[in-house]
Amino acid sequence: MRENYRYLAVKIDAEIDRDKASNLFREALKAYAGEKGLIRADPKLIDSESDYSNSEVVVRINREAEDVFRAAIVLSEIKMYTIRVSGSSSSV
Amino acid sequence: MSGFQDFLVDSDIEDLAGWNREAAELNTVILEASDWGELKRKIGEKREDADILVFRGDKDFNARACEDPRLDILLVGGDSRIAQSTAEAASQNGVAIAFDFSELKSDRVEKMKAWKTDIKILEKHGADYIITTNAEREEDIRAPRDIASLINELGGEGLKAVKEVPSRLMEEALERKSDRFIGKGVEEM
Repeated sequence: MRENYRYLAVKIDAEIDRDKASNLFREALKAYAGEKGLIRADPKLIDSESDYSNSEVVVRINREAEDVFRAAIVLSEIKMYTIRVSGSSSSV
Repeated sequence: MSGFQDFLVDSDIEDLAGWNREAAELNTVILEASDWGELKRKIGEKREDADILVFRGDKDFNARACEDPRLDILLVGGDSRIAQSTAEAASQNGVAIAFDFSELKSDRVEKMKAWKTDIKILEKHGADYIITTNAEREEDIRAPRDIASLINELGGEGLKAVKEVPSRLMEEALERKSDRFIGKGVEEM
């Protein structure tokens, strides 16, 4: 069965690189929703659409876990917020 | 997100966050009182000048505060929580219950558990609720749509909390400012 994804452009209020961004999302999700939530959201960074130097990252998540992911980042210690959202990576 | 208003955020903070919202232009007055008589007197004194009247809740007389339709928002926090009678009165008198997001900086699990119960009670009685970031620094501001997701996760209606209810309060505040306004729901023809 084909997975249904959401693509979110997230601004992070810190200097980041790919690894740091990935860790921030994973840690935030794990802290809020645990390992099960992390598996459910399955966040993947889209390098081609991300601008790490500007702390702007495009992340792909399972559509059904959109609320879990957003709730996790809103509760994160480091300020992160979604600036755009789309159903395809090219239009986010 | 259009429609989102954070009534408890200072206009300077809104500027820093790049927001330009109508709520920043409003005169929001936050009342504190140690008993019902004092609150009633303060509501009477401040209602005329205030665009949005907020009471920082007190568990002993939250329900009585919500019985006064002159009040716009009841801000719950600390050990002040929502009882069935508070939700019922808030629903009948159009008082919105506000949750303070900045409270989640500590004891998050306990507080979110309390929010979940409060939201369930408010939904049962059809009372409106909103969420304020209560931000004192730009770093404390969060995206409304992300906050809505948190409310959804807690069993509430996120978009209603961050968009529809604040819009209603905003409209009411502007209506009150109009010259034709006489009383809640009454205006000169």
